[in-house]
Formats: sequence, C-alpha cells, structure tokens
Amino acid sequence: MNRMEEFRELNIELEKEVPEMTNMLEHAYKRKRRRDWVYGPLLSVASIMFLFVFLVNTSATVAHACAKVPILRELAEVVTFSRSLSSAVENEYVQPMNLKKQDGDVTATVEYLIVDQKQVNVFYRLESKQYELMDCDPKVKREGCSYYMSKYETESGELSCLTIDFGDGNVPDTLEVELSIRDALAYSSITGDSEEISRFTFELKFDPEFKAEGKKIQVNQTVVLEGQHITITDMEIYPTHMRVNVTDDAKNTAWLKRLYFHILADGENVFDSAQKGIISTGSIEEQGRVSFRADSIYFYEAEKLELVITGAEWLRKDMKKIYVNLETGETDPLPERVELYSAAETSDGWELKLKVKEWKENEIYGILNMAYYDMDGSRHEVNSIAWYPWDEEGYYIEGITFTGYHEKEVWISPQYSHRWEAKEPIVVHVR
Amino acid sequence: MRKEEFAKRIENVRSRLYKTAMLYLGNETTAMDVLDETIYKAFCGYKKLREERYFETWITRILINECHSEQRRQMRYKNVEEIPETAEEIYDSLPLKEAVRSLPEELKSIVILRYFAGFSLVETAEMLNIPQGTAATRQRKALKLLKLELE
Repeated sequence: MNRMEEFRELNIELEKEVPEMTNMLEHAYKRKRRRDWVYGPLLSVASIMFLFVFLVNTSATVAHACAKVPILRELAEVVTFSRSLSSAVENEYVQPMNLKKQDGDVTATVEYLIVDQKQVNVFYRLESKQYELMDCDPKVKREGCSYYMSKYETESGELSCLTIDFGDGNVPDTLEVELSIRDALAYSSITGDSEEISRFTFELKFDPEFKAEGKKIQVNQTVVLEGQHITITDMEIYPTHMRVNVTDDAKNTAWLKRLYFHILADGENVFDSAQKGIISTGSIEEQGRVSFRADSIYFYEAEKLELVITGAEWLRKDMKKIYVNLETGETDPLPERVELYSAAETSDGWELKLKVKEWKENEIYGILNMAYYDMDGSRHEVNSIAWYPWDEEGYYIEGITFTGYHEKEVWISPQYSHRWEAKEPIVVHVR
Repeated sequence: MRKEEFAKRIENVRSRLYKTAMLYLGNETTAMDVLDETIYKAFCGYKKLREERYFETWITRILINECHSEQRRQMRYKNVEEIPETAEEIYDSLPLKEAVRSLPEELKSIVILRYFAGFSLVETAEMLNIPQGTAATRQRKALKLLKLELE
C-alpha cells in the first residue's frame, strides 16, 4: 500500500470509529452542577477559620463535629487521591492558613496545610474573573526536598494540592513557596509555554501542634524473595505516609528495585503501597537501603500488623550495563518484555528505540536510566527519553537520543531486569 | 449560546474532535478521557465565547491543549523529543498513523488539523495562532516527510 492509499484507509478507519458523545455532555452538565454547588455558597473563609481554630482548642464536641463542616468536606473531596491525607482530614489533622494574595486579576489563597515531620501538603486556591483555567508552576526555595502537584491545571475557584517531601531530612519550621501562574487556555503558541500572568510567594509557618513526629516500629526480619535475602529493618509512620525500610544481603545476585506489598492491620484492614507520587526513596544498589512508601496507619490503632509481600522488581547485578551494537542490532539480554526495535544514526547522534510490552493496560513504565557508557567506560547522560504509543495493542516504544554520540557500540543502563510474583504472599508479622 | 445550541455544536464537531484526539494519543480509552475533559471545559466556558462562529476553532484548541497535558502526564516529567525532521528514512518505515504521531509538534498539529480534522489553511493558522505563511510552510514540510501528495 502506498502512502496515499494509507491516508485514505486511515481516514475511513477513523470515520468508522467516531463514538456518540451524549454521555459526555450529560457528564459535563452534572460535573458543572456539582462544582457550582460546592464553590457557590461558601462563607467568608477568614471568619470560619478563626472560629475553627478557637473552638477546636476549647471544645471536644466541636472538634468531633468539624469533619462535617462544609469547608473540611471540600478538603475531604480534594484528598481522595491519598488515603493517608483522607485519614488526616477525617481526624482534623489540618492546619488552617488563609494566606491570601493578589497579583493582577488572580487571587491565590493558601487555605490549609497537612504537615508532619517529613512532608508538607499545601492546599491552595486560585481565583480569577478573566482566567477560567490556570497552570501553576511551583518552586520551593529549599534544598533537599522534592515536590509535585495533584494536577497540572487548576480551574478558577478549585482547591488544589502541592506536596513537598523531605526524604531523609526534616520539615523546617518555615518554608518559602513560589507559585508561577499561566493561562492554561492561552494559544499564543501551542508549542511553547504561555506567558506568566501572576506570581505569588508565600512564607509558610508550621504550627508545632500540626507537625507530628513519626512513630517507629522495629521489625528486623529477613525474608527470602526469589532466592534473594531482604531485611525489613523498620517502619516509620507519619500522618501523611508510611515508610517500610529495607536493606539487602551483599551476597544477593540482584538489587531490589521495587517491592509489591500491602500492610494488613488486624487481619482485615489493607493499607496499600504507594502507586503514584513518591513510591520509594534511596537505592539499595548505591546506598544499601531503600524506603518504600505506603498509606499511613497513623490514625488507626492496630493491635496486629502484618507486611504482606506479593512480588518484587529486581535488577540483576550482571545487567547493570547492557551492551548494544548500534550498527548490527546485537545486544546482551535486555530487561523482561523489552526488545530492540531500531537504532538509527543521524547527524546529531544515535537514536535507539525499544519495543516494550505493557505490564498493565495504558501504563508506561520507563525502562532505562539517563546514564549510558561508551567503549572506555566513560559515563554520559541521555539527552531525552520519549515514549510513543504503538499500533500493536499492549505495546509502546521507548525512544532514547544519544546526542553527539557516534560510536557504534554503547552500554545502556536499565532500571530493572525482571519482575517476580510470589506464588503465595509472604507475610512478615510486625506486631 | 444556550445549552441546546451547545449540544448541537458538539454534535457537529464530534468527528473532528475524535479524529484529532485519536491521532494525537493513539489510544481509544485515553482519547475518550481527553474528549470528556474537553467537553466539560468547553461547557464551563462557552458562555464567555464572544463570537459563536469561532466555536469550532475554540473547542479544538481546548482539545489540543488537553492532548498535550495527557502526553505530558504519560511522559512522567521527562523531556519529549519527536523524531527530527532530518530522519526521513525513519518516517518511511513507520505506518502512517505512527508517522503522524512522531512528527515534531509544530508539524503534527498542522497535519492533523488540515488533513484529518478537515480545517482549511486559514482556520488552521488561526487555531494555532500563526501566520498563514508559516502554516503553509509547515504544511509543506510535514507532507514531504510523510510522502503525502496533498494540497
């Protein structure tokens, strides 16, 4: 088939598949009605916040009823992406802020914080008469932390969340956060960023009462997973998340890259390992220890606790670097479910494409690290990694560009070599 | 524009929106999610549309931005690079659908809007907020890479 025939066929194919959109319209109507009801009748935030703080400190009855207050109900709806944060809200572990600033047509308000020793969650609202949808690009002026947003775009009036995580460090007493706002519907250039419309800097001061220290449970038990010895050293429990800390045996033939597990409390309540945001910190291979995140049991009084392991992801020690002959396509064994698709040299360097079989529908999982090595063993950094959907169902392409590299051989660095699923879950009794 | 009129206009652009989303994203489920979000956002903002004759270009812009957001979400914060224009032999080896999706963004949007969504060069330039001359140049480049003989 030549290109013109392909073009005609493609148009016919796409035309045949066009779905009805009546349901989408109904969905849009309902969503907007719900949004208007939630945001419409809110009372003055300032007066409610003062009342909230005063009465919570003086009345147990009011403290109990606060979860039913419309404002916290709104917060409860926003934190549904995190079981830990949902528990924090249910238990009124929320520091009200009401820091409001205006720049041009945009007003930004930091309304709540959920903070502990290791993590800050900032709940803020942007309002504008002119801009219906805004992009918020945050900057945290502190080293040693990472941060991410609950979503890229914010509707005017919508409550959004910025999470700032301190890894091994501790949350300081104050933190400066800058928000750069852009019009998400600006079309000055579809290929580039739109211009900044507003900028806000907030200095956040944390109330010690809402900055809980973590609790630690010593575990010190070793399990054997696919022949590899892994020691669960302890668990750290914070209101915003939980950490399962792990080390390994130097004699293992593979490094642990990911652990698939959940925590079972009192034999029936399941607290899942993190599936999005920060999944783990540290590195077994580089630091000899790794910390996996999970939903927190901080507000749950469990008499019995079990760590249930269902699988793991490994990097075999002999696969830390994988040889690829870019000219011939010959390679050392590649990670599971990965095959070499193409390698093409351009005037700028080499472009390598790997064809990857999905683990889960529509889930794109990065195969390679940014580092690669040349014949002398010198380390270079990949300029970009891109993922392309693939025509064949259940597959995608990971494309890597080695800009300025013209050697015929390269050693790439995979994130993992294989996954393992336990035939029966392995249970570690914690308490 | 009233709600009934909004529904009618959505029906009129249904095919164009779907084809655009499918060619950008390549996956039916993701395309439907993005269409759902686009229609919601359009419904929230349609009353502010000053001239109703721009409805189609306006909603297509929303859709393209949603497609970009979805692509960014899928790319997990890493830089995305398409196949460069110089790598003609790579485009030749790909099925047309994949080749379109692999075009640099500037060229991809032109091809999808002109030859699959059916917008004119004038409408496409307006939608992308670029001069007509620029749109025409990009169109030529894209067709050359894809080896399509179209006007």
